[in-house]
Amino acid sequence: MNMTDQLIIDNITKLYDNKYGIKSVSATINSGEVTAIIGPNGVGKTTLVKCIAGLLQVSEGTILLSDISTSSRSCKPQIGYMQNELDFYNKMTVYEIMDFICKVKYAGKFCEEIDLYLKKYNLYEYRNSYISELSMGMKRKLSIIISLIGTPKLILLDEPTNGVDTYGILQLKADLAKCSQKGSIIIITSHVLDFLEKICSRCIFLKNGMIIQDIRLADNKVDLENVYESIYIT
Amino acid sequence: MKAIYSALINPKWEICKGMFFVFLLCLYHRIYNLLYNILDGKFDDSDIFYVDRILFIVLICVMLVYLRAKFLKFVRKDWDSLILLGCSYFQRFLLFFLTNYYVLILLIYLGTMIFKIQKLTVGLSISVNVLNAILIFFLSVLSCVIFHAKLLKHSVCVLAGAMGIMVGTKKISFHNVYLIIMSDKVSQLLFSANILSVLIKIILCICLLFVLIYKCKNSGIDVSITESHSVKTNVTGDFTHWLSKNYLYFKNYFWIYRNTDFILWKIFSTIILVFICCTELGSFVIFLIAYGICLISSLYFADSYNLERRLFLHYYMSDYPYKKILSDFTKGGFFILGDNILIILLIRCIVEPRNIIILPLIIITIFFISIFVNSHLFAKYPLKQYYVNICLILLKLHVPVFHFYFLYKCIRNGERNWENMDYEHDRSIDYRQYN
Repeated sequence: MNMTDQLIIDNITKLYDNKYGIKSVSATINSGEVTAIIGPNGVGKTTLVKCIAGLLQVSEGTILLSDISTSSRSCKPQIGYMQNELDFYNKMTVYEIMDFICKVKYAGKFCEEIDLYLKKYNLYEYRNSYISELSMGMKRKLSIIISLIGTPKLILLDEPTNGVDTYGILQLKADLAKCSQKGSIIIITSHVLDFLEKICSRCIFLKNGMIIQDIRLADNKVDLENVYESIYIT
Repeated sequence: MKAIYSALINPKWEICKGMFFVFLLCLYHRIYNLLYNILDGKFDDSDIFYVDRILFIVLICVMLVYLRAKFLKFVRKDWDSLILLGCSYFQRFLLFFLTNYYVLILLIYLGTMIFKIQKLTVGLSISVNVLNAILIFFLSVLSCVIFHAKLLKHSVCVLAGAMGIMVGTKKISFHNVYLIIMSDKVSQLLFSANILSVLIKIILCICLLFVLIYKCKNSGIDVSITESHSVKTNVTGDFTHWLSKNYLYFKNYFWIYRNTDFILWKIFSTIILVFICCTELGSFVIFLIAYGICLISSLYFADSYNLERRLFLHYYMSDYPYKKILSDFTKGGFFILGDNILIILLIRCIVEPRNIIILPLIIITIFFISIFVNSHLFAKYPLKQYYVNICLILLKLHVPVFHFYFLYKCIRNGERNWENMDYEHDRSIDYRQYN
């Protein structure tokens, strides 16, 4: 992975039936940076992440990962995306879904990582269980593994901590740190500020679909709770 | 009650079951003669009776285990919903009975056949087996209530161990078993229709019913059954993992075999083809029947197509080329359509090598059906309208010469669509209903 890789979000706007989902969002995120997107429900966090993943077409602006548009198919294998809605096919086993993704996305590479990740997240004993048999937390862990496998250039995690046990969260922290060291650009949305404070180097606060504050945590000690209160509560 | 019942059953599956039983009834004498000839060819007169009785005991055990598994599944899946819908215990048991009546009919059918070998008339056989079926129904339900999974496992282990010791110390020998099974008491109780055995069975049924009512009212069936609940695993998982890791096209093949309708259809079509192969009919007729089976099997591609629609996000987040996906589906589809046909025809060719000509012909045909239907289904993937037009696709398949043009057009359209796929637009289609 090239340490000079950048994600450039250039003045993007997303309209839903003439209403703004996100409005004039611009940011440049460097390789190895862990960025949090923070805001109350409905401010456009998921819309922004989906636009970055190339799942939603932006109404204006461009999103480039290493100079390639994230909406192009050639860029997709470089993106690990964990969606908020757990949309799996229930009649497949954990192994089957993992195999399928490794084969389709990475042409069979990283298959050896499957067992490793399943063991790390305590899912190995459920490897032959159907998705329908898994709890919500387990499904979310599976979704995390899917986004991390192969250590892609861009990792997008949409509320990864919901329903995940403490061990899973600790493991996620460790894995994100490793991916960051390897040069991955990581973007996380979450409502758990403590979790974000510990792993993120940068926080973007959204309000009405626009960036209201962009803070670099590495530079100065910032209490995210105070910032959050000052933006959204007072 | 009627509404709940109709929600619990699958009409397509019920029609298949009905067709299967009509088919079995039509072939009653043929199957009986086949069974009798097999027994007659291998055993002498007294041994026929003995093997026939063993068959009956095996049949009862299989039905008991199967019904127990079905009842456990019923409790895990529907029991809570039925409680919330206000169904009484009686109604819940009745619903279980109504949704699994086919097991009892099968037992009566096979039991009657076995009893006919024991020289009982059909009328008496049916009445005795109706009683047997009710008894097995109560026993299977009670075994779930009384024996928890762990307790049952331990009991089976202890029994197997005791059996092993007795066989080892020669307390039990084949001769002893023969004497017990052929004894007058067993004959009168299990294989005859005298008043005493019927009375014993009726009393036993009533006793089991009372025990069931008592257990339901006092200890609570819900608790005892849910205690034995555990996460279900796919026993062949590691093997299928290895296969699908190396051969992606097996994914749909394994998956489609989790569809009960499909399994039933495969069994049904296999039986038909085996019967046709056993007759004196020529290779052309066999080819036509196999072709018809392939066409009906291709209707199940719609199910595997729905699986792919659910995996759309993962396809979209990859650069998987269209040629590969079409190749995967064609290979997978080839096995979905023709696995049973190819095995049967291969055996036929081994037995009679002069019939080998049919084999390459059917391989080419299955392959063409697979590529034709799959290329049409994926021409505008993941659009919904292509799901319903599978009959139209099969009609187009039968337009001579032009079918090559249709195939070419679909592959070209599919490739173009795949390269310019739009996730946002396609997400607006509601495909959640197919899960």
